[in-house]
Amino acid sequence: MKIQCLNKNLKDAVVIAERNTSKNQTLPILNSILLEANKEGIKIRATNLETAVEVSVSGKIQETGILAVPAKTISAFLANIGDEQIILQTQKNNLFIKTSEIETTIRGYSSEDFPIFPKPESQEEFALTSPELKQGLSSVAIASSLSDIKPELASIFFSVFKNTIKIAATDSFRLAEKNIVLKKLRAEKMLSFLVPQRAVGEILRLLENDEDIEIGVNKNQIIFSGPNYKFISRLTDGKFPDYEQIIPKKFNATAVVKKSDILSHIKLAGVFVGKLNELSLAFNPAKKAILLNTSHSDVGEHSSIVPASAQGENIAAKFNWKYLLDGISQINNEYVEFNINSDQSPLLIKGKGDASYLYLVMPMRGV
Amino acid sequence: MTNEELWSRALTEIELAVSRANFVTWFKDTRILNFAEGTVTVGVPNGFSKEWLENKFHKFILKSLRTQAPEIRAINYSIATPSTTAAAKIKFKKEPPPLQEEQLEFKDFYVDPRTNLNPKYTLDTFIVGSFNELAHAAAQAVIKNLGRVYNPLFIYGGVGLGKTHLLQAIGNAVCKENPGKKVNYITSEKFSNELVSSLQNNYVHNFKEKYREFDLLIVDDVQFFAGKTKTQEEFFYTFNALYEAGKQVVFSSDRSPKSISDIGERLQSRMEAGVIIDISEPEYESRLAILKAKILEKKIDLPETTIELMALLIHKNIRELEGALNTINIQSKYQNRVLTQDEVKIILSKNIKPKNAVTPTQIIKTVAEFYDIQEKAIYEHTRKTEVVKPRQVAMYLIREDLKGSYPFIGQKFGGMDHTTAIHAYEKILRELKSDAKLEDELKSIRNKYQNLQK
Repeated sequence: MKIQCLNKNLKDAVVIAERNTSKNQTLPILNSILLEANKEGIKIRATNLETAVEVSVSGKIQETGILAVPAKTISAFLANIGDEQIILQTQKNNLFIKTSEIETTIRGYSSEDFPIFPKPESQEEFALTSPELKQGLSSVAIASSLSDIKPELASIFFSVFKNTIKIAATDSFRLAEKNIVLKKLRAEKMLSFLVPQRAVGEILRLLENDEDIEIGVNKNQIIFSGPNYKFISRLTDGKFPDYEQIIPKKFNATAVVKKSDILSHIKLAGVFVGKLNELSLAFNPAKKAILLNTSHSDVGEHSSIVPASAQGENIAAKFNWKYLLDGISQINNEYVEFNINSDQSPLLIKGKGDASYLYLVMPMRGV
Repeated sequence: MTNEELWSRALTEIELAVSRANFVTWFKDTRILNFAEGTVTVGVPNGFSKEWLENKFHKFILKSLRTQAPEIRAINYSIATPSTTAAAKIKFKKEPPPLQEEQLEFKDFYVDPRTNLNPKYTLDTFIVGSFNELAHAAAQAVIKNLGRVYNPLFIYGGVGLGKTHLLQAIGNAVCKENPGKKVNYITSEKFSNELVSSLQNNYVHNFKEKYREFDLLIVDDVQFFAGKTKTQEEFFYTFNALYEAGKQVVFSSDRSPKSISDIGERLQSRMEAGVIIDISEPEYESRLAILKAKILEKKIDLPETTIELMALLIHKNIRELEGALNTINIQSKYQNRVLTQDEVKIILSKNIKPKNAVTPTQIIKTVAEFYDIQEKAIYEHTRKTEVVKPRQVAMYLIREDLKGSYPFIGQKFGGMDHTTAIHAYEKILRELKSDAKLEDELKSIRNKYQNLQK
């Protein structure tokens, strides 16, 4: 193999690939990335056997070939040599790199030992644009569980039916759901699957502005294909909780408030939260306001009144302030709507007049 | 040689031939899924292992397997998640992080999404007394011989007597003993909601298939099928499909199949085809045992006398018993002392509906409404059968529930003789022993006037 390209292009691709290598010490080949130049172009691949990524790099191919090199070595090397043109060449199992100033040899492995990528088999396909996917995933992923004890809760749920993609996640304390309606989409059969949250984190980093993303799903894996990358992840085996039944339909109290107001007040109150992160939120229709209260035995007490058009009953409940902040930040609307039934029942947060996103959070015990 | 033995012998051979790292990476969590007619299907944990075994180790695996079983011709590889036992082991190792006790969770998430069963209901926590021992025995028989005895099993009884507990315990026990069995618990209401939404969204087909593949289908509160013709019809087909395939079905209801009004005859007779068992109200000793079990489970500290008093005062409903226990517990925690007997009585009296608040006139009115006759007809001296029976029932109820004297009853019914009242009371008492329908009628009449007071 002999290729010539700009280091800037190569470096970006190697950084992406490096994130998908394994920290597994038993099989060193999993810590490496695979460089391949053939008639389809220059490609870099990496996998940790859970996720896999293939990135295309633009450049000139003088000789085709294939080689695996340790990811850490090559990424650290490329990060420090400037953005000029470089030439990469295989010499047996070594990679020889040459720029105007440098000549380097990196020890590699035979490509024979590199894992083979699973072929897409009998898959369902649909497409959407990267801003849609990015917004959908990032607004929901915040609610997924970080613990692996319940794999279905450490995953993002997708349900594709007719022209709607529903994306949801929950860690059993809160729940986020986003609906994306696509004109082009025509899913005859209901398709639902669970993508591990780590894979979603990775795909979010991969997505760039204004691309068309094709998604292919079968029983075991999902492939996201962008213009110059492919990302494969296994799917979580399991069943997502039947979450729609826990979303209340009627409420005893409702309040609409300006997003920037409530956000800055929660952050302010956050300085004084107690050890359990509890913030008391009171919906007060008489005062036309939401009252915020926090106190910490060592730091001090704080209360504030945020003007809001509150209706219904007078209800106060305690919440983890970080959970509130997570949800409100995801709302893309000037006004935020709060809906609640009692101090023991979930608080529903959504943008005013926006049915596409909702965030549901359970209160804390005792007010 | 079982599949496990075959695979482990083949693995020992493969282990010698490949490097340790390769072996650990690629052969972890593999197993033989199926071995028939010379073809072995090997289950692998992910797509990468599948490709690798197929492309790199295929000859190796074939050779090693054939030295053990020469008849093997071909090997397929298929992605399968590691068996449940292996997965369960991993789960045990990782202790859940200390839960933030203060943060509330979505309640419904405790329920296993595959089966809709709540793991807290088990047979171990089910307290057996004379009031429910038959139901318990039937449940155990069903668990041991799924689909072969007592199919369908129909359990009925009033609210809060443990029907749901028993039903879910059956499901949980079956899941535990045969992890491969597909079990599903559903309330009749949810069944009909699902049907409606599948009709709306045009995937009735999926809906039908879904319910026909279960080995055990548990349907709670079937009385709510009443009046829903389309749901009944769909359920009827599902039931038939399951029944013919020898799959177990378990029902519960608050009354016997005969007395569920507005339910199709076909479905009704299907429900009666197996065995019908009722759960009645617990007697004092059972109530005491239930309270003690709850106290142990919730780690509540209450004196023996208080518990006995509660068991004595609350008769009918186990759920009420639990509620009262919680109330007493919170009260004594809040006041930080042991409550006296009188205080307990006062608290309980607020929770239990007073027994004798219903008036004879109310009973007569309810009875008249139930049998669809004019209220004043009951007071008339007539021997029309359609009036005589309701009148006798009303007399019986006044005697039984209000402890009214015979002369008082006679007087109440337009100056009849007290012997008429005695006759009526004894007649109904006699008929109750032989006529299950009458018993159900009385139960629903009682329900009606008891609900009037709430």
